[in-house]
Amino acid sequence: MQPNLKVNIGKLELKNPVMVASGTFGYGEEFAELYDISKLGAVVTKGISLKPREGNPMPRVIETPSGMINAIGLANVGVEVFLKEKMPFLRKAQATVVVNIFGESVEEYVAVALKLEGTTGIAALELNISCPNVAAGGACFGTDPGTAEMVTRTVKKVTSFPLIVKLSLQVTNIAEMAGAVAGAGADAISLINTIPAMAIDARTRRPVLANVTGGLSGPAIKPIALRMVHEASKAVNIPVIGVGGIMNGTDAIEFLLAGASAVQVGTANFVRPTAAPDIISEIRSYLLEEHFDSVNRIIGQLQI
Amino acid sequence: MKETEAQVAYKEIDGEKYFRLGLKTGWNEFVAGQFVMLEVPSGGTLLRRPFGIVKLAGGVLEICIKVVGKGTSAISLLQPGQTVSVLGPLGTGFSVQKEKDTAVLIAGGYGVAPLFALAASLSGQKKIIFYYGAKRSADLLYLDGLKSLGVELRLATEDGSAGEKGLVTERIEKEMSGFEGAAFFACGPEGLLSAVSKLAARDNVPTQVSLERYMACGIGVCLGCVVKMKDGSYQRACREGPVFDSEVVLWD
Repeated sequence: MQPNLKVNIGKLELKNPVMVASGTFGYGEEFAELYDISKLGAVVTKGISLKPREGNPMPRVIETPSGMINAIGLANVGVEVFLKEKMPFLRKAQATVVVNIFGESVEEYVAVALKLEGTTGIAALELNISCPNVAAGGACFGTDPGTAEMVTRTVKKVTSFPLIVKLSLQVTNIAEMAGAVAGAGADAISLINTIPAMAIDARTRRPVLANVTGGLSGPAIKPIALRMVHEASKAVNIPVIGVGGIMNGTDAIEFLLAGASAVQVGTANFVRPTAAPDIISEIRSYLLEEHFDSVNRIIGQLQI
Repeated sequence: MKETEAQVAYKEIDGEKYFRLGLKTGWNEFVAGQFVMLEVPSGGTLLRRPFGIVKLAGGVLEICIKVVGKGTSAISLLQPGQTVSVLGPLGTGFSVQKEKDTAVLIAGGYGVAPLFALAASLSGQKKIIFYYGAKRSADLLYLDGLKSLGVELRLATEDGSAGEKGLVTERIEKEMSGFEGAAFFACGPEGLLSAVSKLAARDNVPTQVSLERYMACGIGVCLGCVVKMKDGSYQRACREGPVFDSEVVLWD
């Protein structure tokens, strides 16, 4: 018998626990040329702001040992174009859509959430309070539990969609932060975002990225992400979505064991475009081999 | 766009740092100027590496690789018979205007790859003048192949070891004037492309340039490879490019 892969993120039921992370999947169009994106647990869109953003100057990305640093600068088409040009495609592709949103002020978060309200085909919102790459790209909301609580509570009031809050690693106490956004009404939390980092060219004696710093992602951050997911999931009763360096099915299983109810695949999409559907198959194989009838049997089942 | 596990059909070493790989992709079609993202074998690097398509015949795709770092070193260890994942054909290639009867192709060093493909596709249809410059003769690639395509080859090297001594753009400026009925197609270092675009703007020659950018995904989602346009927008080198009209690009 095929194991059951369905998981619940609050009210939202996902057909499997494998989502793709914001900023690594565009708005789904490119990957849809390679596979059926409706097979994914969910597609998390590129972060959407009220107005379109061109993003940072070049260079924007550099590979580092077991990872990469990016400073894209939240380039996106803006909420109006997203609704008009990107959502119709995602609906047609029958993807489970989670719209990642960010703002430079609480008012902007609210304005974006209001514009999305009532849109057919959106399954949930993901609140980005943790992008490290723009001066006011939400990171200031994600480092202080009081501010994170306030923005979560304010957006929750104006949206009818389930609300996932994506947390930053730059907090003194992840349990306190997770508790704060859970208390403010978040339906789930996702973590971790990329880790602020930099690369230097010794020959030119300059930073490699035009933005000087960027966000580190990829296998290099997986052990840190696992620890954070483990701590956060013990601290709150809402579902936790694990993100950070997941490259294969085994990595995903590790996050589920640590307490994540679902995972997001990010940098792996760049390395192997079929990474996410491959990970779904690998999770299924693992469950068969280990004789679990449902993926829910392994969530949080880390033996210590 | 396809992701294909391709067997290495052949590997030919060209001098100290270059080699050509034939990959059995089974693909049939591409547009000159398009590229592939090649998986780096384990022990190398994380991200794929982009390579311009040199040719595609009988389902075998050829790329040319310059060994410059960890990724290309790991790729250089591939042997015939082994398999590697190839993603492509990617990006927007050259588009050739019918009304121009002379194509002036301008390559700098390693930038010859997409222009070889373009020369092959135009061979027999247009007069092709192929300007090719490099630091030294060892960096001039595909010379025999270009000759057999029947192009008019005009070489320049900075050390004078082949063709005229100096920059290839200097040779173009000296030899060509008017450029009536001609279009430029260029690929190479940014300095060469910028110089070609200036020349083109001055004499009003339609010009397409193939730009090289560091890229993570190659398929348009990471937004890491963008090119700044004159209108202030950014376009993706991997999707709207790598070939752009030189007049829309903002040159430094």
